[in-house]
Amino acid sequence: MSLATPLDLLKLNLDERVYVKLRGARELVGTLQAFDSHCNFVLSDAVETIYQLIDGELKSREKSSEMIFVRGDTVALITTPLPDE
Amino acid sequence: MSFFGFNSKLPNEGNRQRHDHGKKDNNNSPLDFEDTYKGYGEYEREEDDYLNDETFGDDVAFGTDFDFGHGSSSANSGMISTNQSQGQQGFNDPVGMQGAQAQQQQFQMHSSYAAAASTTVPQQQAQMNVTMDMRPMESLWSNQPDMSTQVGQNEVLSMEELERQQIQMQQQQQHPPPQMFMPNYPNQQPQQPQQQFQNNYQNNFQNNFQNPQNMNNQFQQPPPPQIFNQPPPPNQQQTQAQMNQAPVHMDSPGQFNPQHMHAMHAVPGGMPMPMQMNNQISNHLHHQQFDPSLELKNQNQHRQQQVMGQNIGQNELLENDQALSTPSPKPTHQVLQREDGSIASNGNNNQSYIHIKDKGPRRMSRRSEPLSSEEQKRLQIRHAKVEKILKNAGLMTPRDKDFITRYQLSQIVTEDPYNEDFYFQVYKIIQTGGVAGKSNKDLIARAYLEHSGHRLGGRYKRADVALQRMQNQVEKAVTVAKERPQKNKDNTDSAREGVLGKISSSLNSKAPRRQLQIPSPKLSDEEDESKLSSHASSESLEEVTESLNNVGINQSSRSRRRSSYAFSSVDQISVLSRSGGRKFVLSLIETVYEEVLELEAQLRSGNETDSTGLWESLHIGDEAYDVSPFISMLSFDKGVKIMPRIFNFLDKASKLKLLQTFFNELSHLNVIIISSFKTNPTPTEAQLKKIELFQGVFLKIIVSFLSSSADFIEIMGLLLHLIRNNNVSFISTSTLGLNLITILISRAAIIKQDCNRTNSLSSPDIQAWNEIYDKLFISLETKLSLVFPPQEYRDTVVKETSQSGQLQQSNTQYFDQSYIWQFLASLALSGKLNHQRIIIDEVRDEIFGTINCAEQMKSLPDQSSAYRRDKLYQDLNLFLNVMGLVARDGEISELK
Amino acid sequence: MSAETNSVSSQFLSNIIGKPVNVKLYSGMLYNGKLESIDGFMNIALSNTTEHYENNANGMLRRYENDVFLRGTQVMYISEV
Repeated sequence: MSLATPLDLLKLNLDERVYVKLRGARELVGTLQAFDSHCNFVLSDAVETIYQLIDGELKSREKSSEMIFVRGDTVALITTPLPDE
Repeated sequence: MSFFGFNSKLPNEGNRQRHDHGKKDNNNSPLDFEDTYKGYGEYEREEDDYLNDETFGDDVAFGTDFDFGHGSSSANSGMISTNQSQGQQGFNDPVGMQGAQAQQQQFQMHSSYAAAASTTVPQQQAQMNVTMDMRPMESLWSNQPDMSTQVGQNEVLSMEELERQQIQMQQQQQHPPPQMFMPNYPNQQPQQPQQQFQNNYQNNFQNNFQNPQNMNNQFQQPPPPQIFNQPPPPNQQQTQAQMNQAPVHMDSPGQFNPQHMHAMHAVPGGMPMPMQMNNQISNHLHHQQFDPSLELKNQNQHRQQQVMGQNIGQNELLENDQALSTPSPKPTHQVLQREDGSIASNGNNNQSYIHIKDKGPRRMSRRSEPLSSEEQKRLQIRHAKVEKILKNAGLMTPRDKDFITRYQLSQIVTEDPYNEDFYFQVYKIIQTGGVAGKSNKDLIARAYLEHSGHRLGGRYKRADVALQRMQNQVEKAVTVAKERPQKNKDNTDSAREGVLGKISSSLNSKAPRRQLQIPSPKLSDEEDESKLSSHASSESLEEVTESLNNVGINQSSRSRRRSSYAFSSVDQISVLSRSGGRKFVLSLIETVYEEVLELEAQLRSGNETDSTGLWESLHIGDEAYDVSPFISMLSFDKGVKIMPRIFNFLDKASKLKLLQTFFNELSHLNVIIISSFKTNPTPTEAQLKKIELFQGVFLKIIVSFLSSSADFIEIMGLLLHLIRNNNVSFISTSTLGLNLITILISRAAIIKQDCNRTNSLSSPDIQAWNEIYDKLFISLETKLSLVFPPQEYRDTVVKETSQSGQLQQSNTQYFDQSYIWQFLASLALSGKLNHQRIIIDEVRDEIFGTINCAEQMKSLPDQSSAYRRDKLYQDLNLFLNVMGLVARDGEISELK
Repeated sequence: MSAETNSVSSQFLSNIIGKPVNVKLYSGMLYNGKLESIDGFMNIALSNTTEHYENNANGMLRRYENDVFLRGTQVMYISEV
């Protein structure tokens, strides 16, 4: 099992909880079910956190989905979630 | 200024005129009345039609012996008659008629024209009979389905009449019509001539461009008729220009514009002075400004019919179109009058004019049957359809269409027809047609026409033209496609590039565009590091796997056990870091998956499977790390999930070795850590899920292995591995650990019982077992009550499980302690009496606590409490029954 | 010419593997960590990663315990620290 490329790294996280930073101040935490070279994702038991500046105050709201497909062009960063996430 | 006689008196005049005229016709007509002037005779003769004579002349010589089918004679007669009728006035006026006079004359003429026009409807009925065979085609060219108004009265109209009416309707929609005597619009006000002119102009344009027929005809007739359908000139200069062009127009067979004709006659005649020409032009203009309906005169009927008659042949539609597009029916009085003047000196021109008209083949049929309502309905539907079709007609030139067709057809010849489904239809025909030939192209073209909804194609001969064109296009497209470089075969995008413009290769969705080629990095450094980091403890680990009899814990394994204490925390990372790191373990799991998939593929294809690769990938015997990578693999759900598939390919020795490693390093197992109330007093839902997964997958494997293939000694060996290398009291605080111990000792107890019956168990085996059991019991003694988790832990588990509702534990209302009683029962079963006494002493509080809890349930009325009470007793009695006791109704008694 | 440029830049990228780098994304986020790997799509894997906005002086927003995958299309630049 080669770890020569960053995408190999992603492969390691299959079936694991991942943290995905998206464009537009959005985050996703979910179990990585599948991905492809475009960074399209399928996450299960995912929670999306959307951050918004409302009157200079950073607010966030969460959206849960049992299964979600994330289009790769919105993805910026992927890693494992912090233990509390 | 009512130049054109649109004053209020006219309606009456019109009526009178019509009646008068109807009488006249009636009197003189040798024709079948019903066929020609149906209904005319019903009107009374009007007396005071003072303009009648002026309009038609005193001695009206135009006869009723209309020759509908024969252009030359009727044209002659028509010319003559009109000339006669206009003769007086025409000759009375000087040739160089001045504007005012012309206007005056026009006033008169138009009033009479208008009057005559009012007779059009009955006349049209008559005409209809003559032109019946054109009717169906007429619908193709009309824009108005409102013929129903006439049809509704069961009046049968000729196509020409319908056209005219439709033009009227159009104009009426745009502007109120000038005629006040039209029956449908009795109250209309007179119109400004200029507006009328514009209307005509617009209509001309519309008719010209809304007619796809023109295009088809263009291909049949080299000189395009559109040239002759030029709209009336908007000003005199244009008229002049047209006059200059007139000779050219003459060349066209079946085409003539009376105004142009007139100009031609006038010019060669040399008689008209420039002034005269201006007058003439102005007269033309006035005529053009007329609503066509005004100009349908009985005098000119010959003419019009001739015009009709000459076209009826192959291009009748074209002519109809022309009739539409030239709003003022050509042979007006004025024109004729002028012609008269010119004829005097230049009769040849007139002849040639007639000759031209004669060129058209003539066919006139008479049909007198009125349209059935069904036919009328059909006609209406057709109208609507055609209107729809013509709505956007003319947007594209034939060249545009060719271009589009070429583009579409260029895609027909493709290497991948299934991916371009539209064109596959056509491509299929190429395929089935075999060799590319003419029939092929015909089929393609036909399919294309059908596909594109060009349904007229099949029905009318016109389609042949389209078909021919399509064939040419197909031929071109196929040729081009064949000449296309074959190197593009595998790259359809670039093959299409010429047609769609430049195509960016980044649009290729198969894979993202690689921007750089990066040499694979050197990994040797890291490998060296990891090698260096391998501990010297590997030596000591070898001693761990000693003989079964060596129950004592030696120094090296002690140190290892101590180290296991150190990371007995929930922090998975610290454990993983001792087995190569998370990334390493994850990559091992991926490798294991790859191996398993490979083996499964081999199994499916019936090949022999070699599991050595898989075994190596499990890193069972890998002593390079503090914690076996295999144990760390079980920290991940996917590592647990793959286990049943791994077991499919391992032999018994491998399985045993795997389980030995497993029990050896049980304390390192993440699931044990998170399932212990000591290390993880508040388990999360995710952790409980993980524990459940492990129980459901890996414990099942162990149970099935133990019950199916493991013998007594092997089970003892596993238990020994557990005891020797782990803190049993810690393991026992874990739900999972307790379950594992239970499995081992209960299985051993069952085998021992079986062997006792058959006396197959050797005494050294029994002795070894007793020793192992003693070791186990010693490590648990004084800590047996600690296998019961504290109340907070139970509450947390209950809370988490009941919240999620996803866990499949038998009940979520209370903490299930059955696993503890099972453990105690199996422990007691294998122990001697003194062991049992110690157990009872240690867990006495729990026994009575359970009984009390059950008795409290008794006071509660609901059914779940009764069930709970039963369950509590049931679990407790699992243990008590081993010692011949039974708990019932708050009391413990001897089991009988 | 372009091939040479390509190979030079590729050489640079393969040479800085295993070294501490800064990676700036188009969003303005700066990631500091050890370059684990990089591929032809400019996808980047970093370990021991810290997150900053615009530059390291702005303070650390977050530390990532595990390897971080940065998507190539979002990468503005990568530089050796």
